Amino acid sequence: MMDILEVKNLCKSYKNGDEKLEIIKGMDFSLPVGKRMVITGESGCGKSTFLNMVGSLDQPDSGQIIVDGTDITALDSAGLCQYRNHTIGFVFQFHYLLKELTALENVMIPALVAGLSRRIASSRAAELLEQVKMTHRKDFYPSRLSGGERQRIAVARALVNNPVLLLADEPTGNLDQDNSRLVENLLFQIVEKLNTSLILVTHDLRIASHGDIKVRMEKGSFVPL
Amino acid sequence: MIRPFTLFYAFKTLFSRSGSGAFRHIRGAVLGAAISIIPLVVVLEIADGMMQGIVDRYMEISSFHMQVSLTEPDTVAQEDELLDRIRNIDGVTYVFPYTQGGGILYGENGRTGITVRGIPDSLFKEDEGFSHYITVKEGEFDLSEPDSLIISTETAQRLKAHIGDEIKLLTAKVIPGRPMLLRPTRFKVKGIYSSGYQELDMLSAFITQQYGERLFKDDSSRMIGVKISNPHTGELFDVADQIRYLSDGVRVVTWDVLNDSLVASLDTTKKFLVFIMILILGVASVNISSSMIMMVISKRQDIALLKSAGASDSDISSIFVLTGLFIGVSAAALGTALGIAAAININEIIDFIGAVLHFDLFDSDYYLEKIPVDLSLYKLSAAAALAVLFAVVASWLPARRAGRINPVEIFRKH
Repeated sequence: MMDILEVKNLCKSYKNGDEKLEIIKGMDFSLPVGKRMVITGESGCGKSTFLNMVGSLDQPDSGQIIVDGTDITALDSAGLCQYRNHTIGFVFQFHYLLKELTALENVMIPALVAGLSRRIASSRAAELLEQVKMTHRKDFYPSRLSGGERQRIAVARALVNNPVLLLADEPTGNLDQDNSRLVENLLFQIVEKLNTSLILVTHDLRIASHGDIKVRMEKGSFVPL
Repeated sequence: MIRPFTLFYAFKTLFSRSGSGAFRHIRGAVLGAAISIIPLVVVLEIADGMMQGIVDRYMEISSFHMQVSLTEPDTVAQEDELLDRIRNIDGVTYVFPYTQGGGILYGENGRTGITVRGIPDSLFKEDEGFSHYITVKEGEFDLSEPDSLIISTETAQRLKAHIGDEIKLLTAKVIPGRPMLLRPTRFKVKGIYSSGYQELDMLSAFITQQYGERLFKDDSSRMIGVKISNPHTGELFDVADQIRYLSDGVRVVTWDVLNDSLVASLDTTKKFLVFIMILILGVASVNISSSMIMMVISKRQDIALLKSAGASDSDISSIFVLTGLFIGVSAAALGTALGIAAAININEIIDFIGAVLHFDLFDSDYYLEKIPVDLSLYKLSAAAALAVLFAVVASWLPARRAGRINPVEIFRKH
C-alpha cells in the first residue's frame, strides 16, 4: 500500500529565552493512503506543531515531509500555497468561519482560492453541505449557527477541494458531548466515503478508538497507543 | 495580479448582510477622505475662473488685447492709415486710438492717484468686451462732452464724488530744459462704473480721446488699442505678427506681456493653494491607513484561515488594497460631487458665512465681487484620480503587513 505521508528524521525546536525546547526529535513515520491516524498526548507535547508542519503552516528545523509523493519542505511559497489548497484540508478546534460569509460561501472559499468559478464552487460546496447535513442552513451566517453546526461547516470547507489528506486539530474540543459525537461520526464517515486519509489530534480517548493508527506523542516522537 | 476570489472576499467583507460587514469600520475613512477632496475640487474649479475673470477684466478695459504704437509717428494721416490696415486683418474686431497717462484726481473731499485713458466715445457702445465688464452704477458712460469724466465706484468713494460733481485732474507737463509744470484740468463726473474688481477700478478713469490728446502729448502716451475675437488662442500672436509686418515702425505688445506679472502672481497663488489642498488630501490618507491597520488587526483570524486554505501573501494583500481602492473611489465620488456643489454655490456660501459671522470672508478689493466657476472634467478627473491614488498608497502598507501575517502564530493564540 502506498504512503500518503512519509516523515523522515523530522526535527523541530523552539527557543524559550536562552533555552532550546526540542519538540520533535528525529521523527520517522509513514501513513498509508486512506488510513485514519489519531494522535493523542499531553498539552504542549507537539501534536499541533506536527500537524502544522504537515500542513506546511510551520517549517521543520530539519528532515523531510513527503505528502502524496511531494517533499513539501522543498517547495517554494507558491508551491506551498498550492499544496495547502489542493492536497490537504484543515479542521481546527475553533471553526474559523468567516463571519461575513454564509455557510455556503464559507465552504466555497477554498474552491474559489483554487480558481474555480463561483458556479462550480457553489455546486461543490452544496454537495459537501449535504454530506454534513447542513443544506438547510446554507444561507445562514455563522452568527446564527450553533457550535456543532459551525464545526460541520468547517469540515465541509476542509473537504471541498477533495484533499488527499485531512488534518484535524481537536475538531470537537470546543463542543458539548452530543455535538462532539455528531461531528466525530460525520468526520469519520465522510473521510471513509471519500477515501481521504486523516490525521486527527485529540485528547479524547473515545475518539481515538476510531483510528486505524493510534499513537501517543511522547518526548518528541510517536509511540503506539 | 488580482485574483477573482480576492475581489469576492473584499466585496463580501465590505457589504455583507451578516451585520458584521467591515464597511462600518471604514466609513469614517471614506467620509474623511471625501471631505478632504472638497477643498481641492473647489480650488481647482474656482481658481482658474478667478484668474480668467481678473485677467479678462485687465485685457478688456485696461491693457486691451494688444497695444500698437508707432516708434516714429509722422502724421495723423499715417496713424489713420495704420488703423484702417489693422481693421482689415482677419480676427480683428475693434481698433481705436487712445491716450494714456498718470495724474492725481482731486476734489473738495479727497484725492487719489489714477491712470487716465482718453478713449473714443464709441468704445463703450461698440466693443462688446469693454462694455461686458463695465457696469454703470450711476449716471451713464457718456464721453460726448469734452470735459466728461468716468470714474469707478471706488474712486468716487475716495473722492466722495457724485454725478455732476466737478473734479480736477492734476497732470505733469514736461518741457525740455524747463521745470516740470503741474497742470490742473477741470472735469465733470458723468458716470460711475464698476468692473467687479476694485484693485483695477481704483486705478482707472476715462476721459474723451480729444482731451486725452491735449493732456498727454508725448508720443509714448498715444497708442492704438486692438481687440480680436479669440485673445486666449494663437490668434493673438498671428494678428500681432501681421500688424508688425504692416510697417517697420510699428511696435506691438500683446496682453500676456502687458499683464505678465499679474498672470504670474495669480498662477503662483493658484499653485500654492492646490499644493496646500493636496497636503490636506495626504493627511486624510493617513486616516485611511489607520482604518486599514485596524481592519487588518480585526481580520487576523480570517487571514490565517485564508492562508491555511491556500491564499498567498499577495492574495491577502490584494484584498486590502482592493478595500483601499474602494475607499478611494467612494471618497472620490462623494468628495467630487460635494466639491462641485460647493464650487457652483461658492458665492452663496461665502455670502452666507459672511452674513452669519458678520464678517467679509473675502475682501472684494482684492477678489472679484462674484467668483466665476470654471467646471472642467479634466481637472475633476485629476482630483478624483489623485484621491484614489492616495487611498491605494495609504492602504498599501497595512495590506503588505496583512500579507505577512503568520497563520501559525494566530492559530496558536486562539
